This record gives sequence, C-alpha cells and structure tokens, in this order.
Amino acid sequence: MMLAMVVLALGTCPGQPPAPVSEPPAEPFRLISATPEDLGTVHGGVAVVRELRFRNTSEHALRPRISWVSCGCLQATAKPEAVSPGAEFTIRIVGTAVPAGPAQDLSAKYVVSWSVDEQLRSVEGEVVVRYSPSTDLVVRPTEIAAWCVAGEPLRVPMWVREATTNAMAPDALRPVISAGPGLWIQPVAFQDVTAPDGPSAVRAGLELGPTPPGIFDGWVSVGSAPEAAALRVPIRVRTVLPWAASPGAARLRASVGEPARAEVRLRPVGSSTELPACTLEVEPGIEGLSATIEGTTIRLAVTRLRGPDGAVVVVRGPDGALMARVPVVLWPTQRAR
Amino acid sequence: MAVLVCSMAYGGQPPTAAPTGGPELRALVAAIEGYSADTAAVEWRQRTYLPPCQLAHRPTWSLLESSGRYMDERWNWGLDIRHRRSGPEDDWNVTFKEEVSFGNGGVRACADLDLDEGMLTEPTNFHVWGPTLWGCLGRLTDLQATRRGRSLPEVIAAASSREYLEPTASEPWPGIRARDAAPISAGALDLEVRVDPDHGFCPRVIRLVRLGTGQVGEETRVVDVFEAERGVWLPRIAIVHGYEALERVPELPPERLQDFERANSLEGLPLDEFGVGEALRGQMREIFEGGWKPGSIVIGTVYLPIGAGRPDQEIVCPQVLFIESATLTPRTPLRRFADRMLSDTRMYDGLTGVWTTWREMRPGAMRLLGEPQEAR
Repeated sequence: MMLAMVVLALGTCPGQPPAPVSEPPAEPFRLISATPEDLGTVHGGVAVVRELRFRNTSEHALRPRISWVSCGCLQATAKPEAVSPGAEFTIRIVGTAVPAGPAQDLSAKYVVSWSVDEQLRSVEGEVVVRYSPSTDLVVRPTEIAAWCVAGEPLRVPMWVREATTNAMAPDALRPVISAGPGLWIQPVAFQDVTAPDGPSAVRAGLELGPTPPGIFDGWVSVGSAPEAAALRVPIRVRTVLPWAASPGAARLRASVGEPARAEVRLRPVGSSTELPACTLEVEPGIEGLSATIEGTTIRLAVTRLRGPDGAVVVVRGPDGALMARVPVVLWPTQRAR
Repeated sequence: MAVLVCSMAYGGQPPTAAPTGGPELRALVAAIEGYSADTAAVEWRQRTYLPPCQLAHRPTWSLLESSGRYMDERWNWGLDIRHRRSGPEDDWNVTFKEEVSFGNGGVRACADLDLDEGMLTEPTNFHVWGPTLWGCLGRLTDLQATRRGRSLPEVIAAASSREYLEPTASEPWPGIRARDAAPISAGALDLEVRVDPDHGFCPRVIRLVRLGTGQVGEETRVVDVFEAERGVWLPRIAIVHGYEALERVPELPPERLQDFERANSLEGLPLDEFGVGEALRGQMREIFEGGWKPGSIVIGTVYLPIGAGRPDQEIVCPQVLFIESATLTPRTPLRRFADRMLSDTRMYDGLTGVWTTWREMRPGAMRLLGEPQEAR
C-alpha cells in the first residue's frame, strides 16, 4: 500500500499537509483524497493518471499552480486558480504509458501560495505516479505496413531486445511462435544480431502465408512469457495481383451514341515474367462492350456509348487463378447536365 | 522467453469486386481505381505556404517548407526537407535545419545534415504531415493509421455505403460520398471525393466530414492540375484546410479580421512564378473567403480553420501547396535519398541498440529497404 502521495519540498512527511515557507505550521490546506500512486502493470498507450484533492483549511485565498513536470509529455494541472477558504482544489497529472522498459516514475511539482498581511507565502509539493510497463522487451517496429504480390511469400523483419540490461542472452530471448486457430502467419525465423558491447537482440523474420488481394489488418503480440501481457504490433498488408494494367484503366470516351475504343497492356508486378494464356470476363456485363486479349494487350470496344458506366475485366490464368483486373470506364466526352 | 502471437484479419472489402451501384457510381469507382494505379509511385518537389497571422509575425502568406519527396503504394517513402520559413521578421526564423529521411512501412533511416548525426529506427508520421502531393491523391485519409494509409479505391471499397455526387455550380465535378470510410478513434468520417473527367479523373476535392455533426474535418481543393504523363494529370496547386470546432461564433479582434483580409489578398504566394492567371486567383480567393465564414454544425456550435477562431492562437490553416515538378516513373528513389547522407554521419541503430556510421550501416539498411544490390 502506497502512502507516500505527497512529498513536500520543505521536509515534512509524505501524506502530511504542507507547511508554509517562513511561518510556524499554518496548515493552509489538507489532503482529502488521492488516487493510487502505484498503478502496477500498465499497457503501452494507456493513460496514467493521478489526482490529489485538497481542501483550503485556512482563512486565506490560496493559489495553486504547477511549477515543474518531470517530462514534457506529462500534462499537469492545478484547478481552480483561486481557492476560497473551505473550498477544494485538485492537482492532477496525466501521462501515457510507454510499452516497454523499467518501472516508470512520473512526477510534477506544485506551489500553493497565499498572502498574509500583504506578504506572499508559499509551499511546494510533489505528486508522483508510478507504473511498470507491460513488457520488459523492446520491439521494433511498433507498427508495420507491408506490401506483397498475391501468391508470393512475404517476410517482415522485427527486432526484439531486452529493455534494461545486457544480461539476457539471445537464447533466452528467442521468441516462439504461438499461432491460434485460423491464424496464418508461418513459423518465424530468428537470427542473433547481438552487437559487441550492445544490448542483446534478436531479429525475427515473420513469414506470412499467401494472402488474397486487398488490404488486411492484423497484429503480432510479443511478451516475455506466454502468460505475460503482450505488446501488440499492428500490421497492415497490401496484397496486389501479379499483373497490372498500364494505363491503370481502360477509359472509353466518346460522345453519347458514338463508338469508343481503348487498349491497355499487362505488365508483371511480381516475379513471373511470362503471362500464360488467359481468359477474360467483364463484370458486370455492359451492352455492346467487348474485350479481347492478344499477348499482353487487352482491347476493349463499345459499339455505342450510352452514358457513364463502369466495369472490371477479370483476367484469369489457365488454372483459373486471378492474374489481373482492369477497371473499365465509359464516360461521355460531353455530358448533358 | 519471448512469445509472438500473430493474428491477421480481413480489413475491409478489397477493391477486387466488380463495381456495384448505379452506372455513374460504377464509372467513378473504376475511374478512381485506374487513376490510383497510374499514380502508384510519385517523386516530386513541393512548397507549402502558411496564411498571414500577426500573432506569429506573418504579415503575408509565408513559406513553411520546401522539400523533395517520394512515396509509393509499397509504403516506401523519402523526404528531403528544409524547415525554412520565409517570415520577414528577424525574430521569426524558427528553424533552419536540413533533414533527410527515407524508409518503408517498418524501417526509417534519417539524418540531420547540420549535425551529421542520424539513426536507423522505425518510421514516424513526419513525412505524411501537412499538405503533400500524396495526400492530394487521396492516399492519406486514414487518420487512425496515416502513414499506413489506404488508397482512395481501398477506402471507398471498405465504406459501409457509397453514393454518386452530381456536379454542382461551385464544384463542377462528379464524385462519390463513401459513408464511414475513414475510421478514427473518436468516431468516423464520411469521405467525399470529386474527380475531373476532363483531366484523367484527377481528384479535385477530397473532404472528410464527421458523421453526425456534418463538420468538415479536412478538405483538399485542387485548383490547378498539370499533365505529368500522357493522360495522367496531377495536382499542381492545392488548398488544404483543416478545421476545428468551436463552442460559439467567436468575437474576433480587428487584427484577426485583418489577417483574413490579407489572406484573401494572396500576397506572398508565388502566383507569378507559377503563372496563375486572374481566373484562378479569383477561385483561390473564393475558397479562402469561404473558409473564414464559420461553418454551422448544430445550434450553438461552429467550425473554423484551425487557429483562426482563437485570437490567442496562430492561424495554421488553410495551407497552400505548390508542386514544382513530379515524375511517375522515378528510378532508384530511395538510393538517391541515401546518397544525401554523408558516409561519416554518426548513426544510432535503434533496431539493435548500437552506435555506428552510415558507411557501416548502409548496406544492411538498404537491404532492409528493398535495395539488396547495395550490399557492398
């Protein structure tokens, strides 16, 4: 149980009311409530808050203010600015928990002043909040974005190292994959990248399984033990098809009622360099619109442009695998409003 | 023993399904997807200007930054920036350092060229802050994961619904409103995007509107475009607004109203250099003037450009972006950013926790960044 809620700069005991600077104890205010000083284990990114409430027990108006904070990331407030006799005021500090490292102390100093016979008096106090980050490991990066071609492997590097000392050997750090049902991350390969005289570190190469096209969001969590609270690293993967159109869309433009044509070429995006014989499907079908492929060239034609419309040419390989998709835009050159 | 647990989730409808909805909506969805594919990698030079603000000693529009940049859909990026403000007041020279940074979705190398010191670590959001050409292409609308932002077609595909927007008198381009398209921690945003059919379906308006209140959060108005490659047009001048909500219509002092007037005068912007004619100047004035009128959200609540409605704060919006040059086919862009860093630059390896030099670090760093041929 933590009793040391207020440490007075003038040497009084923690938890006792502050003493005036140059007067015998006047006890101008009294602590009436406080939230815990030690918050225990806190996940990274979570707000760390401590609040002290005092009552003005004097017959003077008090003016509390914050005089110092231990970190620029810390928000500290003293409210209200002026406290009438019998009224209450609050000293509050708010920080954000870091995800890894040793136990953290956040503190702020405050000054409460008042006037007696036009002489300014003041006392200083300190408010502290303490927590332990949820992991003792440093993981880099803490946020990942990766790109890959559908059907091709994706490897994502990560680094894990011990946060505080060099004592932990890489073997002790060696992470073990633990994938639940439905998860598709492949076993992780590890490499000792410990540098001479540097902290122990291992590099973890996450190898992701084949992914369908589009954006996928997920996460990897890292802890020092299976039951330990984890540090979550969000991962976003953009998976593209192995062939792309150039230009990016077939744009068929003409006056309404006129025919229109467009042509695109397919180019490889991934490791394959030869386009197998492919079939085309236009989705949804548009009356009068046809699409043909010759080599890597796709030609589209519409017999009569009726107005704006859009479709996609889906290109499939011999085994039905999705090779590319080509947006098709039909848009009149002069459109009636 | 460290333990890794991994989970991947389907993050929204991928843009692989056939377009649905009415024919006009289908056309625009396909057009935006095609445009996004054409602009999947861009290298450019830009300048950004801040509005006049007497509180910040800026009597005219003032240069905020000048930079060379690269971004692509693989989340590779590069930034060579000078923090050089052109404020005429002597006491207003904020910073004059030059910084180079580049990376991908998981690793960043950066160096302060004045200090000859840098580090290899994970990316920050610095390269996606403020107006950029990449943002004008609609690739930075993910306010929850800005630097891992999705493309416009990806955002539109993941929205809960999509509707076609007819051209209007003030915004004469067709568009799409994608509902609940940009999730943020405090709620959700509609995306409104209008594209220009006569200029390769280049985005002209990108607007994020808060669901429920209708407050515009961010707004990019592209006022001029240029043809970067045959058929592919890019924004050349854009006005980027960021708005904040206020509890009431503010009572603003004369100095603040004078700031608005000075902004409307366009003084300080490089309009002659960019050959901006009277018609375009008129459009720009109209957009600025419109911004100073408090937008109504609900009774008793308004919104104004960030800083404008608080007399004790600096006006930081709108900002004007000028694109000096751009290419859609950059060659080895990351290597050129790497070359800007001197070999003897002292580097901290934040991945393994050791100090080294850029000479020693470069081969491994470039391998991490997908340039394996650099291993030497």
